[in-house]
Amino acid sequence: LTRAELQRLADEDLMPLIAAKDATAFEVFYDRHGGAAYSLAYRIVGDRQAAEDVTQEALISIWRSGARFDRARGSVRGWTLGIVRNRAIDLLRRDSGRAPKLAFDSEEILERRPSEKLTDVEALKRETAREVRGAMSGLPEDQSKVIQLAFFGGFSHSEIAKMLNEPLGTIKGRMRLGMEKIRAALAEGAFEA
Amino acid sequence: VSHPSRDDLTAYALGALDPGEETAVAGHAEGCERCEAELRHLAPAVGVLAESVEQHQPPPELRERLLSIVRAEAAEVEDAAVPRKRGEQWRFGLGGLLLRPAAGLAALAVGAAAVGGYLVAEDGGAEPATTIELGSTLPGASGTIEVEGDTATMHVRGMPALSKGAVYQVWVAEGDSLTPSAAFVPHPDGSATAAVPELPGGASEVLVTREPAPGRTKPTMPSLLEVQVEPS
Repeated sequence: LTRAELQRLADEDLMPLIAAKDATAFEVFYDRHGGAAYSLAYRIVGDRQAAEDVTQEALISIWRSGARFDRARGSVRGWTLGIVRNRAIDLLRRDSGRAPKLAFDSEEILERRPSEKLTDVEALKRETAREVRGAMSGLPEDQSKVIQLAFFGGFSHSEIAKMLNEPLGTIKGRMRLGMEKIRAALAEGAFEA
Repeated sequence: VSHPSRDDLTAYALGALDPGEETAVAGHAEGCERCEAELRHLAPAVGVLAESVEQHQPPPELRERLLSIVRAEAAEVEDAAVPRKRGEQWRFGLGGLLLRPAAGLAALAVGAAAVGGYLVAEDGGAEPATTIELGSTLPGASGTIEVEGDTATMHVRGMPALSKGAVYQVWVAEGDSLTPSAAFVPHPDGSATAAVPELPGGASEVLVTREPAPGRTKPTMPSLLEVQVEPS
């Protein structure tokens, strides 16, 4: 297929071509999703070079195993960003000197991280809530906070419970309520998927 | 059946379970229609989170670097390809390996090794078994066909899981005709075994494609595993 023909293909139809090692199909895939992948990686690791490394690692893993995409489980973009998110979190966990960027004043919370994740708090790059757009802005702060700690910070619900000094059940409930609100807002067309 | 709670499914979708819990939920959800439906329902919300971040333009060098890796690896696959004699679209054209009767094995083993395959003959029997490695375009996947007398069995490993209803289809080429042979779904560990009864009868090529459903009469996808065979 020519580049123009590839550009007209849906993501789901590009993936078998990528699995068959069509470099131009991968180029089209990169041009569609590379920006979102890099932006998500940057949001999580908070450093340009590290974000590039994460994006490269994640997208090359897709190139080498494009056959693993399962269209029954969602969109190519969601699958791709899930892989990027996991790679970025892996990097955060590997690199104990790195602290997640969180969109609230997180210094005090991060000081209460589980001991293996205690890091140089001075290195923490704090973000203000202005960066958080769309999805999170409509949520009550307690729900938004646990979702951010989990998704962008890579903390498990039990780690978050310890950090926030709250019962695990409370944290689980906030996560579910917050995600249900996002899902409901999505169904109402509040923001683009 | 006890299903994970909605709280736990939500935490799973967010990647927020502890490792042991994650393994348990993943193991349960695989094949549980109700939990898979719940996770599919949550997926767009997780997608919204991923998209909610401030968008940055990736540096052009990242694109260049990625594409140079990708192009180099694509060229390697192409270099390993055999010239396409027939030019059919379904033919991916990996390195061809020849399978001949036992008498030709010693000479062939050298040539086959050069393209990454191997041939094994068991000496002394009236009907020697021959094992031939399949060429693969799937990272991590590999397979062999064992031919003994008039039976042939394909063994594969590392095959990616299939989406619902899909199968791996074995095809056997004889001259210009291509006929479907066995279809299989790999075990959870990626392995599978399939009889290829048509092979000993004079086939020239065996290949495997992933098909969205069984019962196709022509391949609809590129070949993933294949081998050329010289009829005995």
